[in-house]
Amino acid sequence: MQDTVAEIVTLCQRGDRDAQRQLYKSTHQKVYRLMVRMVGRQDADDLTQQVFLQVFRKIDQFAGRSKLETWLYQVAVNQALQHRRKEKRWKFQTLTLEPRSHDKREDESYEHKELIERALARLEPELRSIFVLREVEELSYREIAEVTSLPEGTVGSRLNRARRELQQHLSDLGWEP
Amino acid sequence: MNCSEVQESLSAYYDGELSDKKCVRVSHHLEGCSHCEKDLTGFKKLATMTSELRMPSPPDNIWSRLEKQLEEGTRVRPADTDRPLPTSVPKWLVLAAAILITVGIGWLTYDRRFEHNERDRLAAEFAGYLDEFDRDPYKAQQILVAKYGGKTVDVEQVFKHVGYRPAVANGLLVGYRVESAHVMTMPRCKCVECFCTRDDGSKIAIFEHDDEESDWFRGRPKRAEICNGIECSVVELGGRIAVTWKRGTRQITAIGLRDLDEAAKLRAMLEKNNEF
Repeated sequence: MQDTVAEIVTLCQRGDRDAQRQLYKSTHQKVYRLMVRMVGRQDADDLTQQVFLQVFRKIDQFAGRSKLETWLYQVAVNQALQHRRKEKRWKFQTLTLEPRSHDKREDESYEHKELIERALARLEPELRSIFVLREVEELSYREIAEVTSLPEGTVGSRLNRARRELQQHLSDLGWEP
Repeated sequence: MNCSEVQESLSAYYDGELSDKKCVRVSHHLEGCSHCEKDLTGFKKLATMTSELRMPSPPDNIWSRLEKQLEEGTRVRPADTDRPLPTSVPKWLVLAAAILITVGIGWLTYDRRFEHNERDRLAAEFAGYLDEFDRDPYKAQQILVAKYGGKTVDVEQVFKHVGYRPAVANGLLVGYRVESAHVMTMPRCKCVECFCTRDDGSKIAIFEHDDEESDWFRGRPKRAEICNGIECSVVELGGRIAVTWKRGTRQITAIGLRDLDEAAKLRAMLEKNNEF
């Protein structure tokens, strides 16, 4: 078993199946998690598979200038955004949902999860990817800039927008901070 | 720093991405500005909520599927260049090809026009069904059965007709029951419709189908929602809603639901009961 990323990448570039499996095992949870947030659970399996297929086909293009993880996120975000554009019938549009009444019997934590998922789904995909990369995947601004090909300064302003829009969506859904 | 400058840097401040000098200036502003401080508190609450998001585990079979795909991709195919190139193409062959292309284009044009007409007819018929469902679900049901050669079947017999067990086969929510099930031949797919009754006598119709439901609800505003972490398409129908979600390679559309809560409970029940 190889224990460094560089060695694993080199072996993957030669088409070594064990190295590919090792790379998949060590990173697939992150990719899957991102996909669930970006395209929904029903398509996350297929998209995760597609991401790794792309990764292994294009691994020759990975020059090692960025972290492997960042490159993986880049492939994953591109794949997710491309999927969203193709699947127009599932694309989120401006929603006009009435504020939802709170049922006190419902567990508050469950309510929060449901609300944030629904609010996230209303966020436009590009903003959603930046927010998820920061809040869920805990990437730095520099890393998000690499993944999204945005200037680092723009990442902050997009995050401002994402957070404010999310708060607005939550408020529309009946959330009281 | 004024409020506008702080607002621009608020995310970077919250995420610890500002220089020490700028961080001190923002902190100083926040101490005396309840408005900006409130926004920062909002960011913190948002982070807390996000940390509560469900983190589903990836299914185990992704790697095996991927490995199969990788194997197929690496299988050696005869290179195109190995094939002998034709040195000359006979005129009769060019003529035959031209005729075939012309006939093909003509057929495709006819086929597309036919398909459009078929889809328009489906959209109109379904609009009539939905309007009637709101007034008299039984009558709506009869209309649909008559139009699409609906065959009344026992839920357990559905498999014989469509090759799968319908989602309702293993039970419904407490207080709901399947009144009848039909297999219908829609223009683009064979679908299963289960006519269900709530305890209060009100009705819902649950369709399981291969085709997109886009023509069913043509002209009605549609929106996307999340039900139990799954994307659903929601259409308003007077006082009720229709909700569609993916189930494997098929889709389920429930018509006559009261709200998204009912949709979420129904979806959770149907998916819990069914492995596919």
